[in-house]
Amino acid sequence: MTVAPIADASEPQTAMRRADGPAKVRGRAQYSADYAEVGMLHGAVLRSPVPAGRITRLDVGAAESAEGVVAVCTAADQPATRAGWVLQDQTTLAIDEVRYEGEPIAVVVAATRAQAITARDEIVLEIEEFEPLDLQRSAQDGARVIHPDWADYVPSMGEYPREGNLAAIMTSEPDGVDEAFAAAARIVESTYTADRQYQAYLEPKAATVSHDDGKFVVHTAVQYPFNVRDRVAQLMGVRLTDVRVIGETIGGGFGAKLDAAVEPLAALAAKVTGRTVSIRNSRQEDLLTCPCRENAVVTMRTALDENGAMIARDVVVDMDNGAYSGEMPWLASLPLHIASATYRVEGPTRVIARLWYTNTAPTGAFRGVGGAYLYSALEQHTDAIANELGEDRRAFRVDRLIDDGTPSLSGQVLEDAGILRVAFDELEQVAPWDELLADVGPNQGIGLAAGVWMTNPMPGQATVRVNEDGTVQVITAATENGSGAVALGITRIVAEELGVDPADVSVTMPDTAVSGYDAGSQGSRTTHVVGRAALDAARDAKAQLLEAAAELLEAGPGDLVVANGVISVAGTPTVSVPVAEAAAAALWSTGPISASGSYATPPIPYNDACGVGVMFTAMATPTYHVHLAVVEVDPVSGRVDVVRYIVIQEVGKTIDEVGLRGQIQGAVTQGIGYALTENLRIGDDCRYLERSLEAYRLPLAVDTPTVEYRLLEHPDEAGPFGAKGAAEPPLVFVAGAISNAVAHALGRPINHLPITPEAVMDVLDGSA
Amino acid sequence: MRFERADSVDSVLQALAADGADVTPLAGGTDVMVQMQRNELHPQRLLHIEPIRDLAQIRSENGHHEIGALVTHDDLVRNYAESLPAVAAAAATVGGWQTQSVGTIGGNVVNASPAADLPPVLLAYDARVELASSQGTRQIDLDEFLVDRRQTQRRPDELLTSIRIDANADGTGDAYVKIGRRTAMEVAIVGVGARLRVDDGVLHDVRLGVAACGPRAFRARGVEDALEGFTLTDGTVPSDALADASARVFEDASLIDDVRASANYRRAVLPRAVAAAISQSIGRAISSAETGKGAGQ
Amino acid sequence: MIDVNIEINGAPTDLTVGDAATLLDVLRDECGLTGSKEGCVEGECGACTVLIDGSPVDSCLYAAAACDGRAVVTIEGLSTGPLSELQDAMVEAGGVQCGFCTPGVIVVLTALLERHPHPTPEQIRVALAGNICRCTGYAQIVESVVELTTGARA
Repeated sequence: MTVAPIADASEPQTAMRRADGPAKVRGRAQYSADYAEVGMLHGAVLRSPVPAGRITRLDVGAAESAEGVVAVCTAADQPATRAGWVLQDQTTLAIDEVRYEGEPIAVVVAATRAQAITARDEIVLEIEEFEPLDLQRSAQDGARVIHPDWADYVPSMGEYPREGNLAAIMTSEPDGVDEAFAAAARIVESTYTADRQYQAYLEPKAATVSHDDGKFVVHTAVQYPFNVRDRVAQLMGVRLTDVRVIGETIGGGFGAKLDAAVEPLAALAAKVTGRTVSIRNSRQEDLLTCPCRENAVVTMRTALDENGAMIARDVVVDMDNGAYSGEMPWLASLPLHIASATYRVEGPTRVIARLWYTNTAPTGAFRGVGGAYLYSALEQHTDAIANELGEDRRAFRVDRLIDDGTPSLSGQVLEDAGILRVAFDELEQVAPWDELLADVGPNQGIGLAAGVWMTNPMPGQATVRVNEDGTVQVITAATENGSGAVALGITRIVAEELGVDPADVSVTMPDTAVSGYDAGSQGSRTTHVVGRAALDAARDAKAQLLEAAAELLEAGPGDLVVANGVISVAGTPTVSVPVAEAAAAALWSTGPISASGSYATPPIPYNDACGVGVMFTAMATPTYHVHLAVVEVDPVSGRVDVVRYIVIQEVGKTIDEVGLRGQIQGAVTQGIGYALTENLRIGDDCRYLERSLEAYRLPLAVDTPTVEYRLLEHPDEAGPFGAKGAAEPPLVFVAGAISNAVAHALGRPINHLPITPEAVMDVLDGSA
Repeated sequence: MRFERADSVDSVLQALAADGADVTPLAGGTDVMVQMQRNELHPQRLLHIEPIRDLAQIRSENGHHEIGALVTHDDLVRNYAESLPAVAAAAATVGGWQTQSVGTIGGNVVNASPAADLPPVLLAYDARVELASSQGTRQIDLDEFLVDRRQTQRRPDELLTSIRIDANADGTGDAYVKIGRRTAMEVAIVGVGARLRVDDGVLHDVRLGVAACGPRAFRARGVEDALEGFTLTDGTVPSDALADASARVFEDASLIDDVRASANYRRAVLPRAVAAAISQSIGRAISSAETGKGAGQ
Repeated sequence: MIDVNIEINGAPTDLTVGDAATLLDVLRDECGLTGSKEGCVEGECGACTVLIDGSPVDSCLYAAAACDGRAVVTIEGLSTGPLSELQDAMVEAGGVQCGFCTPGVIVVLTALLERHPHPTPEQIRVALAGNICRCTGYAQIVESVVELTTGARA
């Protein structure tokens, strides 16, 4: 089929059948739990039933002799190493202390999963419990130190400020903040809290690992195979390349599958038994141990002068790291980039961001990371200021929008921040603000949120081969987590450049032994970074192809064009040769057609004196966004329905609109879950209150609005056809827009996420 | 655990007579299988009664509806959407289509979860359940049948075989109001079933069933008393009177905190839900009288 | 263990299954039909949905032994030839992202179209209430069915 070219904006895009679509609709796609090897064994993990304590008895004898059991692995079987993405504070199995409910203690390996689970119940485990520490208790002076050996832990990427239960701290303290507050005509202050959010991908984590000759082969569905490789290698005490990670189809990840989870457990079991071992999480195990979006407390204060200008800001953020550090120490710097984003603060901003160890499951990345609650805090705070000044909430924002060339708090120059104004104008076209206000119904409210987001800059690589039958093979470790970045994005980019049908472009599944390094599907980077690498490779391959064709056509390569699988002389379409023929001929003349591309976004200049402990220094390839929500509150139940949702999003260039729309609709739906229905609470005993999908309520088809959207295209020079990252940001602004809409409907804000019917009813009932 | 198949009511009754304490009848399994997964139930013998189609009949005759215990929620939705809207509405909220395909009215009642969807509506319909044993059959009011959380008057040797509700007279309206975080797949935080008749602007036969606000679904007799014989103003109960009447639901409610909601929330929402159910029922009663189409005939 | 005969995707199949074995486990582990997925084993997500005598059921909560003498259709049974129109429409419209919910969704929608050949968007959403999709936000799934049954392209 002919698919309208990306570059030609005048033709609407024809839908492209995503490459992995047919297998998925037939149930033939192979996910991690679908992968099996003949004779493989199954593991069941004994996990700590308590959040904190010392293991005083671990008796595996009865389990070892249970029916079907081949071995029971304990900490005694693991190498004496610690591992971690940013800080090496983790082991595969707990040694003598447990630090969160669900922490792995042992692995029972048996012929069937049922046997392993039954035998697991035979293990005698006794734990002398400690008082578990949550975010509040961990931060108190004199609190028990959760990691007494914290000072001995080795950072993977360079040291950063941390001490005791403070897993990381970032401070940015320019002069003049206190003075500005002292001189302020008005001060607005609010505190916002957010509960955790569970990624709740449909496919629970699973992995199958074999161990032969000192080398591990890991079959798993993960978003960042190279990172999982590194973690398994660190924990098993082997060289990086003694671990090979082969990617299976991913049933959703959203950031939770960027790091290892069951892989090290299966690797240890494989090493101990000498057999292939498969482990998969039950949904409850998965929920209890998933690196969720962290819970946090954000306090924002803004000083205003007599003209209503914001003259200083003070932001303190306390974030929950959980019991071990995954990616979180890096992410602890994010508040610096959001504290005074979007709307001009004409004076200094102080930001203190603290990440705390607690006796809860380690937290991690979920689409948009802390941006989801940070922007919600910022946007609610902005509404609070506008309301304090009696200004219209839209006008307040538009009057203070940052512009092209505005520096962020890290000193990064946001060269095209003026797109924010374009986005606000576009929103006004779609839904004129004054009309919305005039038409707002009883129990309804309208809210806005806007800002900047990034495209993760980390390196990616792709090799493009043109086969003798005219099809194209792309070899890359980029992961297709469902977003379409590979099945649509990379595929379409390569097809476009080479002038072939996208149906003739095939992209390999990731294999760390074969494909070049890729930094995973995170931060919306795949289409932009790997797309660029693939485009560069495709250009090079095309040059080789044209060189081979030039020989056949007796023309100069510069006179040739490729379209629809045919190479012809420009302007003389009858003088042509199919791509297949040229590629086949190349084998014997110029050589098999193959080219590689590699790309990482160049580092962005910033002010290295902007703070202490700033691990995350700039928003690479920034994009700009404005969201609007209309909500309706049910006076009987306090439930909030989103009756209208509009996204204005800067994307650089639309590679595939159907895919892009899916990212926006999907991300907003996750944002609605975050804002309203999904509740993952930590009890006083540091156990989750919600422990199943019955209690952890995901948005359903019956509750979800159809999102309206407009795409802005200001092409990025470096991106493939100008594309920037698009998949993460539509989640980041949702809670802010909805919170503001709810506050508008109720006449007062609710400063917690999620906004539960309980919280709303407290307001309606007058008991708030 | 043994899985056994039953092919007739008699064979079930024999098994229950012999070994009732160890036999768990299994219909669609949407409660039993979940409880087994959660290790809350450890049956010795699972007796699969789904194939007994005699128990899946719906008979409407002689002024009443006789609903077989194995009638599924999906059957109720498809058969009663027009004539018994609240029954169909309640059945339509028991999980999703997958649950409704095999989940049964008998299972929903016998499982006696305090938050189950059908009991409050059935209570509003003065339902009577029929229980069979090798000794014969007996009928008992649902209100008496439900004892406590997960406890009913069913003896170990008895099988619930059908549920009877009377057909509605002219001018009857009903409603089911369910409070949950989402609009589907919810275990009720508050569930209210209402039924009443409007005759010449006066409320009669007011019945109100409430779920998820006590260890068992109950009749809110205080609310019923307050509204019985009430004369409507312009086809409604004025909001103050409605609020007062609804507040009488607390006479029978016993509210707790649980993972789904706090007692406080239920306290705020329950009277609102009661008021909504009453208003909806009145609206339906009046429009059914106007169209001459009685509900539930 | 108990002997059963279940018609699976049109083929009468003799099986010996555990008394407590779920239909999902038997389909995946005994019959090699891995298209039905395990997402929650609590009847919440619908990734395991199959048709039993034409009705959609969560196979994770249904005893395999209870399927004796009945007809079970899985996603594989709906995918024996070229893609069905529904499957084709689902891919084209963007209703497939990670695909883990997709087999269950296709099974439910197949049953829906059997019952209501021209369902409204509301009917589609209600039919899918028991199918969680974490990726798409549902809109393109619903639209694929509307477009298919009305011939209208959004």
